[in-house]
Amino acid sequence: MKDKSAFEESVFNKSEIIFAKRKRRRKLIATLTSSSLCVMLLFTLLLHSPIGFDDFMPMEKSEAYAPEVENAGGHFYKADEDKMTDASLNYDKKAEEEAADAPSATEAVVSTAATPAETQAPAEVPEISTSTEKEIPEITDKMPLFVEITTFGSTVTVYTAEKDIENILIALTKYFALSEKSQKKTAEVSVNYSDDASFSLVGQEFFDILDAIKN
Amino acid sequence: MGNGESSYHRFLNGDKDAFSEIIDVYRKNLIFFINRYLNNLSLSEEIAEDCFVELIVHRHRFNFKNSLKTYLFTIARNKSVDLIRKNKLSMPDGEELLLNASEDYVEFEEEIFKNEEKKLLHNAMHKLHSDYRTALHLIYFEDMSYEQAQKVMKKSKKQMENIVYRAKIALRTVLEKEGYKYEG
Repeated sequence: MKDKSAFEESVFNKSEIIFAKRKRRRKLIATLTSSSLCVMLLFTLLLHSPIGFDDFMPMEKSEAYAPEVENAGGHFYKADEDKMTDASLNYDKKAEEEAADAPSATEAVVSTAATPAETQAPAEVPEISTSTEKEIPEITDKMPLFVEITTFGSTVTVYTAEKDIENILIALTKYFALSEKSQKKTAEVSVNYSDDASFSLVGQEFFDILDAIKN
Repeated sequence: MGNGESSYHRFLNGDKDAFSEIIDVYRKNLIFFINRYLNNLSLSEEIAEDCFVELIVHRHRFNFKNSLKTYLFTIARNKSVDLIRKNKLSMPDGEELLLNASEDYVEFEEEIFKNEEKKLLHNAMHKLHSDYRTALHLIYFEDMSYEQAQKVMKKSKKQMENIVYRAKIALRTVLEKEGYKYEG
């Protein structure tokens, strides 16, 4: 066993070690804090500088879309970026005026919580035709009408020639990657038929019906 | 303010020698108390050092409402229990302490117990349950009040009274078995 002086020395040595560790830790925290503040300041300056981010990102807007989408045939949507700022996309039926290879009959509208009055018309809309005389294209994996739901309040329209509600729902699930765990399950889905018959599936109903179909 | 508290107060005001006084007063008893938990003198000494280090490093924690002795012994108990839990040790029960006593410990005991009666009591206490042993140690060897002892052991007043009562009965039984008459 140690004598009193050795014991005392040991106590003071241990306390010195603890104080030194504490000092090093405080220094490290101060360094990290000042570095992160510098980074934030630099970022803020860049954001507000006259150069802007566009100079660093010269990519054309059209390049954001996969080229194969354009060539897939059928209809596709190329949103006008200016009108996307409030995250509301709406596809009007102004394509009725244009002659196209639009599929007929069924139009599936997927909207997320927004009322139609809140949505805005995009610059370019796909061609729509409700004529039954046109050939109904087959729904395939390369459906060109896929547009991802971006935020709540946006309205996305998917055009399909499919009349069977089951297939529409399955397609919607596949294309929008909706799952039980996804936050997008609160999407409101309404299906309008060419004969104006329509029904709405709200929220969990969508998945309930899908489960019923699968089973 | 007792001696310990006044010394600590002087230490906080910058008098380093005052801390030596604190170590002088409490060192041996603290090691002895910790050894009841750990049954290892060198380890008990290290834990005792850590207790005094707490007084230096965390000066703001002692609020002078309780005695310094109670505060130190509470730290010692907490550290001992933590070490036991961390290393999955078991508190020595029964006669383990007596049987496994090292030479250092025997010498240490001789130093602590200059009174034969206390030594007899101490040996008898080895055979008691750990809580009983701790309670009797604090009250009879460290001259703590029930209130101080209950703070160290983190028990309520009622619990402390029960423990001490049962400890005395158990101690009497042990002493009577060894041929001593208990006059309580």
